[in-house]
Amino acid sequence: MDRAVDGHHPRLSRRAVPSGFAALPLGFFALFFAYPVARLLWQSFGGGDRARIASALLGEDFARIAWFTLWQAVASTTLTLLVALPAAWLVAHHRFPGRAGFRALATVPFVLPTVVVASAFGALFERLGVADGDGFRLRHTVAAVLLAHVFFNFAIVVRTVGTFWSHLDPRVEQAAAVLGASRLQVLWRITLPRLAPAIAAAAALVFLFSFTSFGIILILGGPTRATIETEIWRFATRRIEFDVAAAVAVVQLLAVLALVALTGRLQRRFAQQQRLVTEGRARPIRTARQAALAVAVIASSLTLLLAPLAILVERSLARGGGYSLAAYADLGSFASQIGTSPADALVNSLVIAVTATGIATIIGGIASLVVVHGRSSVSHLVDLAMLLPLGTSAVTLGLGMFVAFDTAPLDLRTSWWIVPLAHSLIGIPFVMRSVIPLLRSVDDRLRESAAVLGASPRHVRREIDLPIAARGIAVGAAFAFAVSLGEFGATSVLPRRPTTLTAPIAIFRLLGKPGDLLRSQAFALAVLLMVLTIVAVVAIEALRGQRTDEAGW
Amino acid sequence: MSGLTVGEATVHYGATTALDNVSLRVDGEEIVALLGPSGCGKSTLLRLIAGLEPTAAGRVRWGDEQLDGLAPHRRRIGLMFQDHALFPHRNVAENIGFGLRMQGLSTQARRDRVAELLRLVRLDGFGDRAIRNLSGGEAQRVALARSLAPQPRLLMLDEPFASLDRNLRDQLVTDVGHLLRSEGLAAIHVTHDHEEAFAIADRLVVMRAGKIVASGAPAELWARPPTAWAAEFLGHRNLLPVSVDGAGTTTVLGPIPHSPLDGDAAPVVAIIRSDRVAVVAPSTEASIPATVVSSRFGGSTSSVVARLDDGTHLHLHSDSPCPPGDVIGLTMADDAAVVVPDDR
Repeated sequence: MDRAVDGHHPRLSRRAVPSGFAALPLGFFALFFAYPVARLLWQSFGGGDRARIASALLGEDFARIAWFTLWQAVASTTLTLLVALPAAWLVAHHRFPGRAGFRALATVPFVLPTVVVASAFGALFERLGVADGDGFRLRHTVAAVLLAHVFFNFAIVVRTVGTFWSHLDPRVEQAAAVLGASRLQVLWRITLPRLAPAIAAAAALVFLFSFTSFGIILILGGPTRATIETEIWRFATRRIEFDVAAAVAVVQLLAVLALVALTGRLQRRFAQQQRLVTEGRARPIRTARQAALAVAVIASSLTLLLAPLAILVERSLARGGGYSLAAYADLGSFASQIGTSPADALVNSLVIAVTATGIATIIGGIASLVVVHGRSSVSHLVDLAMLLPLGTSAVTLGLGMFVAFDTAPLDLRTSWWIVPLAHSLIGIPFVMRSVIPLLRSVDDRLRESAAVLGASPRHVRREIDLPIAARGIAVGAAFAFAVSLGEFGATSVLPRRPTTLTAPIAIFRLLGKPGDLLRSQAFALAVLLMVLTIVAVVAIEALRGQRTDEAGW
Repeated sequence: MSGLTVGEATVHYGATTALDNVSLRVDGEEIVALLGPSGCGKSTLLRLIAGLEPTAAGRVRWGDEQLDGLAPHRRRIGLMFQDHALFPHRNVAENIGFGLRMQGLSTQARRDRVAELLRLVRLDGFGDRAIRNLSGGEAQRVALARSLAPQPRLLMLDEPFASLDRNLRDQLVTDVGHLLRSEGLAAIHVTHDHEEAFAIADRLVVMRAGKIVASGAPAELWARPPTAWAAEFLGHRNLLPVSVDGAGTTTVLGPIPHSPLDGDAAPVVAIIRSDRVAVVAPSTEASIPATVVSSRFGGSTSSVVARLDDGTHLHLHSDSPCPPGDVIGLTMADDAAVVVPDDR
């Protein structure tokens, strides 16, 4: 009496989530990402004004802009590595009072709205007197851009490299030392090669973010320092030449794809089997030399991380010769420069962020379930599809949606929904990156134990998978919330209505107009946005709880 | 007639055969130890019985009830994993009460039964503990209590003590044995440690490469192992070559009385049971002289390796310590030697 292996009662662990589950995330992806990108392609190479596109892309100006985009990204990446690697060493190797707080603090800049970061550095230069009296005009230096990029990307290096470093088996280094290698030789010949995959991964991410950086370039770099990303924005919103904007976006998309392919190849070359330890290798600080190094690293990191934020708060309070809360009090009053009150903009941001978080959590949660428990072909497809928006620049995403949804029944240009939808597209990868590792961590044997204890498959999902993944869902939701709150690139090319004017857009507009009062209002709004983001980060760190040592990004 | 019957079960993993035509019976209150090296198919057999593994062929029944095709959660068969698989997001009491909740028991009834089980495994007051704060032995007992809670008709334990240290293991083996008997449960206890199996089981079943190669009461199997491989796996260390001729079967220790195999062409080997050889003074009449090669003091008895005149080494036990180099005598009981086919 033969029975098919996959017949009557297949092994529980192999029971797949029905492929129908994939329809929602894939449909969302197709409608709000694939279709807009296809429309962008059509707009630029199918239906556009070819002569105009050619002259824009082939001119000397564009070559200069592309070159600047490239070299500032390379410089930002190099500087970030130099500044952040010592901090990665510290958190990987030593336990010290306030280590958890230090890690959390290092995370803050990464999720801070770019507009807040730009405002903070603007405030810093103003305080240091680097700026002239006329406000923001003279803050437009390359150094400002690079510094802000280092600040913004510091966390990526500390967390990816630090986490990996802390799990490298230290006995390999000890063996080298016993064999006669000096400290420097050990670092150069053993540790750095072992860290190479993590450093390469972090560097690729920093490069990608710097390459497509938008808010920082726009506010700190100024009109003479355009990058490809700001060019897309300029053609779309200033010159209203959507075909040229689309063509520039396509060029950037191709450059990013080439970069992703290249780093993928590099990572495969660097990939190596490493001896890892599950226990972190962090030890208390013992020698005076270690203490001195730790103090130096902490002090310099804290200066980099805290100075701009502290000065931002200080500038928001400065009024005339003294300090007051006047700028905050003024937030409630109508500002003609933005067509509403800054407080209303903040409320808009919150409503949009809550909506976008809801969409991202539902779609991202289902997508995670499909990736982990779906049939493998569907699983790979969903995994790849939902990550693509992360590799696409925000301005391109926004422009794509703007261009695509112009006709009924999908005329979303005038709809409020277009903004939270765009934000959720960017938030979904964060939800998935938080949920998938936890879903994967559920051992098959936990499910099997539950089954032999009398739990039906439905009960197993509800009692085992869901509660264990719940923390990941909460972390992902907090990320999606922070991302939406600070979103600037996509929102800046979407049509603006009083209800879709978000806080970052308001800050940008207020900073763009001359006048001390407007600037301190912008700073005050930036401070509030910063506080809200920090609340989200604290929630993320608290939810990760004991897992901080194992969890990467 | 209650009890588990597995009939001619076969399981394939791709091209390899994990279980090859295995049949097994476990009676209502019997404790069976399933013994074998890693990879022999023990765990697969448990998974098959629990309904976690699809079978290529075969039947699983409880009494007259057909279990094939029945989902694991409907079988009322408990399975305890080697690494416990406790639910990390629930505390001790919630882990133990999980099966009761699945049965739809009221909160009060659940609380009473959990308290009773905590007492049974001697963990009173542990109910609110988090799983990550348990020691290995405590986690083990929680897992046991969790498996017992829904009152399965058969409890299967997959190498439950493998990750514990010796002392804890000896204590738990005794405890679990008592517990299973007092609850009147049928049980299958998987292990690769023959001493653990001897200590806990009514009957031993030895597996090798997906097949059952021996089955019987512990003392009976030890006294008459069916083959040389099974003998070694059960802890016999003295396997001596034999010569077979018309007069009978002989080893270096002399002829073996009433050896059942004669005229058989298959290779055979003689097992000398260490528990049926006495270490005596060399002057003792009819004793075989030997020299102590090494000796490990073990308290009441010592383990001794002795060399016979022809160079053969024997592993034995002695009531008195014998330092290496001592000359001793050996006397053998009539049933000390067993001749078995050599299948190693």
